Amino acid sequence: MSEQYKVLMIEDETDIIYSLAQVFENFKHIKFIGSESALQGIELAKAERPGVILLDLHMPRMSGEEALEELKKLLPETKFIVMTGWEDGETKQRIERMGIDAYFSKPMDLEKLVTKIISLLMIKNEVKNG
Amino acid sequence: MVLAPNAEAGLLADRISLMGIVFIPTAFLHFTLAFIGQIKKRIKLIYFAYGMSILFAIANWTPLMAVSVSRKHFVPLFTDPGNLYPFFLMFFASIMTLSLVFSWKAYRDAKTQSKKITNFYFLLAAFLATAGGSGNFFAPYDIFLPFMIPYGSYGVVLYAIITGYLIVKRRFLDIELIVKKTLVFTGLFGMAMAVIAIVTELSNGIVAKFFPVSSLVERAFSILAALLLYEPTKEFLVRATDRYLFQKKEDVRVILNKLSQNIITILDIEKVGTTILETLKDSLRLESGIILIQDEDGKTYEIMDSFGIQNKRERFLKDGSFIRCLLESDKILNLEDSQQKESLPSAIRGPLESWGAVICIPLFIHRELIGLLVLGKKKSDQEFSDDELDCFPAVAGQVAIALSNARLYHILMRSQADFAQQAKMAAIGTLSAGISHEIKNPLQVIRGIVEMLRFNKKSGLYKEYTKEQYEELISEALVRVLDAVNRATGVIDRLSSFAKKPKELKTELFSIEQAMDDALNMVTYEFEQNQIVVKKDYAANLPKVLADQHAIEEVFFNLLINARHAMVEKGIISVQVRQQGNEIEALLRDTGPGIPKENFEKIFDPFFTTKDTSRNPDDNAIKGSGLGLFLVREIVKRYSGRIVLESEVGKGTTFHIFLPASPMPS
Repeated sequence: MSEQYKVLMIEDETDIIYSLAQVFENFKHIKFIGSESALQGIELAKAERPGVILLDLHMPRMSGEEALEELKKLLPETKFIVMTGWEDGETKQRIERMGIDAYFSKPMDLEKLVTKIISLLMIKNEVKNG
Repeated sequence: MVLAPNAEAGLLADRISLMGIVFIPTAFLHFTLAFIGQIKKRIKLIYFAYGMSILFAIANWTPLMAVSVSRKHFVPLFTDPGNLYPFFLMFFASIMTLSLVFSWKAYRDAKTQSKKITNFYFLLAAFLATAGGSGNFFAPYDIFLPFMIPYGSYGVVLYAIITGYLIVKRRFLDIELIVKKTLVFTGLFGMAMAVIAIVTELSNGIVAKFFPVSSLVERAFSILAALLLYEPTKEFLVRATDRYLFQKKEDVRVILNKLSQNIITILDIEKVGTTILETLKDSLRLESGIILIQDEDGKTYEIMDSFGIQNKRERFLKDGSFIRCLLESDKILNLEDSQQKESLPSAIRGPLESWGAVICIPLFIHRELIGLLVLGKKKSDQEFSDDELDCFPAVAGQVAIALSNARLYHILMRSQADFAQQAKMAAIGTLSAGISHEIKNPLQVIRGIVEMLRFNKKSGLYKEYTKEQYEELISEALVRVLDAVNRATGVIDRLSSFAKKPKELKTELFSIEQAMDDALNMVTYEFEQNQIVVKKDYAANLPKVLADQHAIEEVFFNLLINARHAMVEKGIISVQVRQQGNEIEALLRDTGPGIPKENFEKIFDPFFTTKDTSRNPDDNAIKGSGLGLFLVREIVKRYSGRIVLESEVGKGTTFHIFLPASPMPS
């Protein structure tokens, strides 16, 4: 199994990780990794080098924005999906300028999210292989 | 003694009359001092004079005063002076002279024209009496002063007449009240009788000819007419007696007492103004009065309340000539003092005269002119007495304090109401991001789990599961969904309970840790965003406190928000709850810049703020309103608690909130 088939979700809400982890039970070839804190998530990202990282913008201690900045430096090729529970025009613009691949507002449509994750994984894979 | 049948009876009569005479100078002195209002000032002299008079009175029954009586060449029998008699004459002369000197001084120093006139007549009368009466004292030495002997004594009579007039007309002694009441009663009684008689007569004579009515109806009608006329007649009589006979005398100290009792506890500003004017109107019997008060912006002065004037809408600019001139003169103005009146600039005289005002009392608080108390003339046309003028500075002080208190209270209440509203909006603003996050996360959980189940079912994932595995999965998913629903409900409950604060003083038993946790929940998001770490340390098994949980939550919320603003970004807030004797102590320590010692007291003052409100106007309104800590202290005080502040510049600040522990088992 190559590194491109790894998905990391950094989200302080355990049950959101749970629901997505359950869905990824369907995709045996994709490794779904969950992390409840940004710091642990960065460590996991370094170790696992996932193809797609799902990042919650609102987290204690280290904000999603800071985590994103650091992760982008660490993993320039990784695709990023940012999830947020609160619409704030300014933050959204700032995040989008930092270069992300998708932006989801909670509560998210799980099917759409999964489709997005998989399509990003495929694109990445195609680019890599192509 | 003069006409006594023999020398023995003459001597007895002489001694009896001397008994009175030895008290003449003392009584005269006492009366003079009473009239010019200096009894207290010269009380020792009065005691001395009485002592002397008593000594002479005792000596009078020995041959020291009057040895015998004998014929003098103008009266049949008169005193033959004893050895003490010359000393008595000296005493008599010096006390009388002293009294005259006092009268003269009172005349010389009189401040108002009317006082001067009164004192002049009094001096004249006293002089006539002294001069006239003293002629008698030359008689024992057989010295005859032509004219003085038979007529001199009329001076004494004249004295009695003049002082009697002065007493009645120039308000002295209390007889006026008795006379006035009698006059008013007589007038009213007479009026009622007259009305009844006239109406009865008229109806008998004229009306009955056309309308046959019974005498009972006539009587009833007459009495009704008399009753209807009663009030206006009474008003008229009281006014007339006031105006033409007396001026109601009221001890100025009574006025002051009345005023302070009436106004000091009133916090409604309009009522304070009305009460001040009513009290002064009634006790001084004024025709008009006005209170002007400074606007809240401090730029204009306008009439707050008045009576007896026409134009009630006048306003004066702080920079206008009227107020400026008043500030320059900086004292109570008395237009009855013609000298002072002429020296006043027309900018002041104009408005005062247009109101018919005679006294203008500026009201100062901390050298700031907060208002004006303007008094018109008295209904009796009398001028203000020295006593009254002397009490005006004290009146000014009390009125200024009462008005300023009421005004502050008024501003405070309004801003507190405003603030409560602002605080709600601000808190909702501050919280909305957090709330939205707090609610959308549980919603995400619910949606995620529901969609996950549907997705996995569709994909056939669960076909691989055993029945037990599947049931376990479903029940686990349902628990998580329910948990999320509860969490979202909790967030909404917190928000709504914060938004609708109960207005009345509510008390309930609750644990302070709970209140602290709820307050912390409200700021969690804000703190996380600014990387502020909260360290909690709650003692176990703490007794509960008796207070309003929402109010105490508000206290903690305000302190937490203050701490967060103090630290700006990154920092640690330590929160501790523990028991200290009979109190529960909640402690909030931040790692902010600290508060300088000189601001320790000030930070609790309303409107005191060190937060820069201009820098970020969009920031929530709590920030920089200067009411946060004031409200905190008010709430804590309300529940018999106390606040201890500990702070060191550069290290941080700690607030200790102490609330009485409930004696009931927790």
